[in-house]
Amino acid sequence: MIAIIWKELRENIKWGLLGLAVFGIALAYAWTKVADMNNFTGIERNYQSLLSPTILLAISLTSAIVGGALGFLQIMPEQKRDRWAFLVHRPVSLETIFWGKFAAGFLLYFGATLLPFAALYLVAARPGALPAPFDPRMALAGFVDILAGFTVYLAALISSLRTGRWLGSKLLVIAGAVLVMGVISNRMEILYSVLWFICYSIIFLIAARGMISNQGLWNPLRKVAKITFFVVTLLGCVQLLSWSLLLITGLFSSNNVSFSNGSRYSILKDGTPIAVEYKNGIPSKVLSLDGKDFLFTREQMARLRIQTLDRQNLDTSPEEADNFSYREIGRYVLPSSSSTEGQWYYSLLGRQFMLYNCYSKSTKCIGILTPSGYVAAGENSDSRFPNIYPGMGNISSTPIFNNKVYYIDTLNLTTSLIYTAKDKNNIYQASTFTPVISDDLNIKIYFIISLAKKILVLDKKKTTVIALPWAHDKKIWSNVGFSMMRDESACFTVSTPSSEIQSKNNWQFPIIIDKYNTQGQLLKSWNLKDQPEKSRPIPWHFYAAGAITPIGWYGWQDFSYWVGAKLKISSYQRMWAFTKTNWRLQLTLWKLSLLSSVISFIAAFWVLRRKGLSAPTMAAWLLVVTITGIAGFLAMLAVPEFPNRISCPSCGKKRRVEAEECEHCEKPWPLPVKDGTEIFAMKR
Amino acid sequence: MIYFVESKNISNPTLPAMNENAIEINSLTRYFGTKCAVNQLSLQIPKGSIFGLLGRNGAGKTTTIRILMGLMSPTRGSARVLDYDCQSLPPEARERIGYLAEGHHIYGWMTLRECGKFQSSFFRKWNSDIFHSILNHFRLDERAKAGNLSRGQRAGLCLALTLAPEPELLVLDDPALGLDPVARRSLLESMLYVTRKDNRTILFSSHLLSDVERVADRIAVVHQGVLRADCPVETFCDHIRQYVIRYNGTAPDISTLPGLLHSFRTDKEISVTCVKDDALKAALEKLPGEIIEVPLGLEDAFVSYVGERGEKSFFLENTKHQEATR
Repeated sequence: MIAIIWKELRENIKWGLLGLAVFGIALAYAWTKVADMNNFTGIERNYQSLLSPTILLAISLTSAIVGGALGFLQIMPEQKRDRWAFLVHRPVSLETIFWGKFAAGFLLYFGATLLPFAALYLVAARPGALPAPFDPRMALAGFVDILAGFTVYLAALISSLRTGRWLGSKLLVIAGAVLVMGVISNRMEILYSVLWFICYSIIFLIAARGMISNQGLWNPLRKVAKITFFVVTLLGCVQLLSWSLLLITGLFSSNNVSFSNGSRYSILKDGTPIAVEYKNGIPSKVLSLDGKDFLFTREQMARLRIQTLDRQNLDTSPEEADNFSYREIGRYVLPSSSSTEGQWYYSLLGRQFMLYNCYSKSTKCIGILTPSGYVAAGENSDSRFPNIYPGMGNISSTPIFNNKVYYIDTLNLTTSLIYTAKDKNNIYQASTFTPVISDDLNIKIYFIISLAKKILVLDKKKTTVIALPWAHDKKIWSNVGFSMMRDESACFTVSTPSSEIQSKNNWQFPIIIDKYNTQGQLLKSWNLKDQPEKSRPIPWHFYAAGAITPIGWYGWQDFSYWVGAKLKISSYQRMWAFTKTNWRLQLTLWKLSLLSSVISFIAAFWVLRRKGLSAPTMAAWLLVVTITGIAGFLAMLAVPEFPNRISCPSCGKKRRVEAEECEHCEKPWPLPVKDGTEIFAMKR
Repeated sequence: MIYFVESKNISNPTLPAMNENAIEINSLTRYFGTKCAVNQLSLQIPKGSIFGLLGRNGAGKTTTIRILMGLMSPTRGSARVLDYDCQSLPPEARERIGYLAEGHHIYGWMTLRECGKFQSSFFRKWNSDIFHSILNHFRLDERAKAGNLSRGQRAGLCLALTLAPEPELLVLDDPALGLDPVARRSLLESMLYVTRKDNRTILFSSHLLSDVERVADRIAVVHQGVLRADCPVETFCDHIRQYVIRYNGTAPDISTLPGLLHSFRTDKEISVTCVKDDALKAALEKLPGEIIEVPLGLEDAFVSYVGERGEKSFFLENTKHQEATR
């Protein structure tokens, strides 16, 4: 094995180095994008440092390319028949050769990806590298993407070892790996990602091991290798169906405006309302409310903070919506947000509020959450709750505990009680707002506390600056943003309709911006017609899932959630709730699944009969296809080598070339015809 | 030290008993799609023999060898190599089988020394003397990169790598393909060197029939996937007979000659090649005209045997006539 590993490393080190260079360049490019604070598109997210989508995208794409290329280059040049013979005809088992290749590929892949990633980590961790908080755990998401890329390497091994058509099982295996990459990368907790990575890697490895020992053919693979190879191909079919569906819906959809397009309304910190237009989820244009281009000063740009981000709150409560949004945007995101003071960021680590200084990278614990409430740092006597563990939660500098609203002063590192309500249910929302746009020392901070009947705006001394009525139905316009003009001559509220209500009822409500004077009298109101987010479309991959039959789809989901529940992975409960409670989606999926089952069964029956398979094999395939639907049917076409059939010399009917006797006339193959010129001499 | 041995069949003066076969092939059949490349081929290769597998391009030689080496699966039939099923040759069996494929592949980035070191790490038995002797015979520098070797040198290196573990069975798939006569001779000499060991079996395919004639003690001829001959070289040559029939007047009808392979007719004579048969002599005697027997070497016999069958003609008189009337 050592000799094989040595040979593979020596032979492929050039590809490993090339991969390292490509990966390094991609990361360096992504980093420059992230580090550019003047880049408008990045401003919302770049505070996430290593969790920035730009960096994660670069890691995902490049690791898949590096992994895939490495897998192919390790096998394909050696596959020419004499080269392959030279490799395999030696006194070691094929298994040893395979594991030797795999070990070398493993080292090369992780060498090529982890070294640049470690370098990026060191750069990101350097104080002052990025005006954003840094936590070592931010590297987890990137690490998981690198793990996910390794499945493409494994798929490339299978694909190159497989004897088949490129536009068949070879391609499907790669598509399967792409799907698996998504599955691994989009888990919301590291534990689950690693778990999926291990599961899928084992599946891919068994399939690859089967391919090398069986000359890339289906028959006579061992059962476990057959199952894993079929699963991998099935995943590829699901991915291809999904892509096809996406393409079709993209081409023929009457409503081409996706939920990530349109415009959203925001208020700058100096109180100016603006509209931000999005294209494919990326802010493309900033307009003032009268429709003219809004020109930022550089300072404003750097301080821009979108107040009314689309929360995509689905069917969750506002608190959960924040979690969901964070998790969707950046996995394992350490909840962090720019504080009003600029250089300090706060974060919830397990039960502790932590502060980060983005320039010095120093951290400080300022308080601890216990079951009895919030306790300032150093005052916690409950030894059970100094826990620090990776966690996520709603984060606010004005946390609400029971009927109390606290304020975390991130500048002075103190906490204080700012409001006590009669009933904890009375407090609906609390947030802070400051109109500071430069590094003023005298920071004006306003606390906006949404109560059942009114919205209170308090200042730092806890005195009420203004009390506003709920100007609009708060069931619909549940999210209220606030801003105050710098001279306190007027203030604005932005009332955003709940996307959940809009989505459920297929309604569309405007965003309303109201301008008040300091006495709370309404001066002006803008009804801003919201963009087509009235109905959040069902994600396309759910339709693709419909191509898999109910048994396959729901069986997989139930298993997944069963595992999640066993491992106490909380994030899974909510996702399940979304699928389970969305009856429209459920119904569509069931219809699609049933249709898929019926079509697949009929098609498979027709194909298998023509191929002349034996009855048990045919029954097994029909069962598999019924469970796995259209995707399974396509996989069935791609995976096995169907019997080769030629005319029987005896009865003229088609018979299998592998069988010794004709299945129709039961006669054996006739011996080659002798023409009288044969020369056979007995051996001495 | 390389010995050049003129005489063939130096491996073993007495061939082993029939049941002591290094290779046993039983009704081996291989289809590529609907095309049958090897059709119910059955063959036994006795231990200690030097066995030549002959046939035209596409006859099925390489396919058969690849199946024997477990690099390809048969559609039907089976084969045993050194008493192991060829489709599941364990490392112990592969250690006893040396296989040299026609491409003479080696890892070009390795030096010759590294090649030897790499290869030797897999074998329990590795004879460095053989390895170095063959390298010396081909005048190869161990510090040279394998990728910089000429085709003949590469063949020599491959042969050294194949022979150094002193395999019991040596399978060579057209080892001299593309080599110049000098390199071919060197390769042959090295190959003969290894056969001096007792009980060593060599199966090789080749298009170079002079080489086959020199070293093989038995040949099998595969034609269009079907085994057509399996006999000692002398028997094969002895069985293929060529006669020239000189005649006057009407050409004799030779189509009924038993074992007729092909004929070539010119103005006044017919050359016929037949497989020797008891009835052949009698049939020839009935033909009008003078009959002269022409002795055939292996190459001529082989070409006649696997070449296009049937009658060919070339009439000089017609050509002259056409020229005159033009």
